Amino acid sequence: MALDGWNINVGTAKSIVGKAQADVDLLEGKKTSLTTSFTEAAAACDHLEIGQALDGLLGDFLGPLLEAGHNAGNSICGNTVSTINAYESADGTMADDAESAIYAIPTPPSAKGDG
Amino acid sequence: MSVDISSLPDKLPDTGTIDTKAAAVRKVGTQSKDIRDDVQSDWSGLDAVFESPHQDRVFSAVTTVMSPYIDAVGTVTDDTATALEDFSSAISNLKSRYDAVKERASTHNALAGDDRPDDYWTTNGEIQREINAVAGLYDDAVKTCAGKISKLNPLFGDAAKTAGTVNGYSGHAQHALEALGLTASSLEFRNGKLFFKFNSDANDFKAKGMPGRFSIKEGTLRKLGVPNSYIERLADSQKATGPERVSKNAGKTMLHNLDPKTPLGALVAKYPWLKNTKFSVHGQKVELKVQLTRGSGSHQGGRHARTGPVKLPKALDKVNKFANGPAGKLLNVVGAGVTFAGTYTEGYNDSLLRNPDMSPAEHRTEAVKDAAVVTASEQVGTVVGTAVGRGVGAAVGQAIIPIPGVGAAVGGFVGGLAGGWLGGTVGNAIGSTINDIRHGDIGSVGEAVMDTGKKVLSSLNPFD
Repeated sequence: MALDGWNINVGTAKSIVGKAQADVDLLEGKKTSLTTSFTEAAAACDHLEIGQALDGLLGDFLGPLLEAGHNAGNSICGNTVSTINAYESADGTMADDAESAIYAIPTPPSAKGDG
Repeated sequence: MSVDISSLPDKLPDTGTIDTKAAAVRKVGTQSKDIRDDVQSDWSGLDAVFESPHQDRVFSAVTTVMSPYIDAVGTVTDDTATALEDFSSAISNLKSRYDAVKERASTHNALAGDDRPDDYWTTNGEIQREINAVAGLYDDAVKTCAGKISKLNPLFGDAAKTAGTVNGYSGHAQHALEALGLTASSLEFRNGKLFFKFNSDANDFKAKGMPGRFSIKEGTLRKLGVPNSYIERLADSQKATGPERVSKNAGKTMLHNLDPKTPLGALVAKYPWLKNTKFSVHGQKVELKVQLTRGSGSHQGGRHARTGPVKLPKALDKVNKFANGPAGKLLNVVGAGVTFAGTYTEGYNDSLLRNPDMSPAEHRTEAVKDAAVVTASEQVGTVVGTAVGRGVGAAVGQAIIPIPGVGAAVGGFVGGLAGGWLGGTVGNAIGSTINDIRHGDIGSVGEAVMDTGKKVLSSLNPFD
């Protein structure tokens, strides 16, 4: 590839991202495990007040938190694959597409302006 | 008469089972972190095969984007497990006393009249005191455990959820409030509902440059759907000589009888608590009290409800508390904790307001969706979800709170809470903008949202 600053081993990079995506997908099962473990913990404590606290924590916060982690993983993998595909396409818009795909990767607030 | 054991639980929970289940909770967190570590390990392989001008952004993505959430899951599950294990330990420590006093009470209560020793009633008192002590310790253990778990939940409690609504908009709200000097004295929590209060004779705004006089823009009020009869009464209240007072009841009646096809009618139909607005005008003297939030449904007035003046700084501080809490310590490393908490809260409450018939699970899904949108957009951040609401809310706020500055600020504040509450009702532009946001096209609409909000505000502002 003749684009300055770009050099991607497409096959290997896609394989790496594919493996990462497969690992990210494992988080799906953890959502079920989280619900099951909280439900069983509530039953074991055998008290409404503790059960309500567990239910609230799971539904209000912890469940969405795990969901967000899963979504973040999917976002990273998906956007990186888009970057690689844009590079691979090597047409006139490659650079722009690759750039925009990279910038679609979320950046934490503290890193804003860094890149 | 015998000792009363009704304050004791029928049986104590099995501590072995609690410990097992606590370990299972913790395991979800550790396994999630293991998965994250595997992803990180996979990802490190890109270093050798991926070169681009912005490669560091790619290489660090797992650490900076995904890890904060997974680390927080690990921390919160670990803290939850610890709370459960502490409960188990407390129950274990109590078990011998519990068993002993139950057996003693059973034996004591079984004694027939002739078999009772002379010190029967003395013993009766001793056993009852021990029963009460054991029951108290059990209750303390339960409350301690539930309290520890609830403290991990930034949205805990019905009132906290309402306060959480404020939290989600702390940035926007704070700016608006500070600019106008709106303080806790203008807000009130009662029965789980948040109210805004205003009195033209005594308020925070007089010292902040609030215009001394206002006049009514009849055309704009008509455009919003305010009935002519009410507009005429407002006009009469402004007459130089012999102005007639427009009573709170008149305003309430007006709000209850609006045509739902009009913008204001659609608003109060969708958010009926706004009908509880109490508003009186007599010349330049204005008094009003607006119910800003629905409250907490059937739980209002419950044990979590707050009464009395709201401590706004405290409410706004909750985000900081979250950031400084166990979850926030990790999340805050990259500054994502507040963003997530705010956005999730915002999304949850948005969904509550927009889709009142949805189940809690569906609201959570919507909230996660909103949080994911924000997470995936660096350009717009948390602003986008509220920009429409603030713009439209400001306009409507001016209709319900027709005081220059105050109406816009409070309306914008409420609009922020509702987050696009008018949807497609007030102009297709707003509706389509919301749809753009919902479809994820947020990178390009940020500025448009702000512009549209300003245009709507400008066109609907009923007062000069």
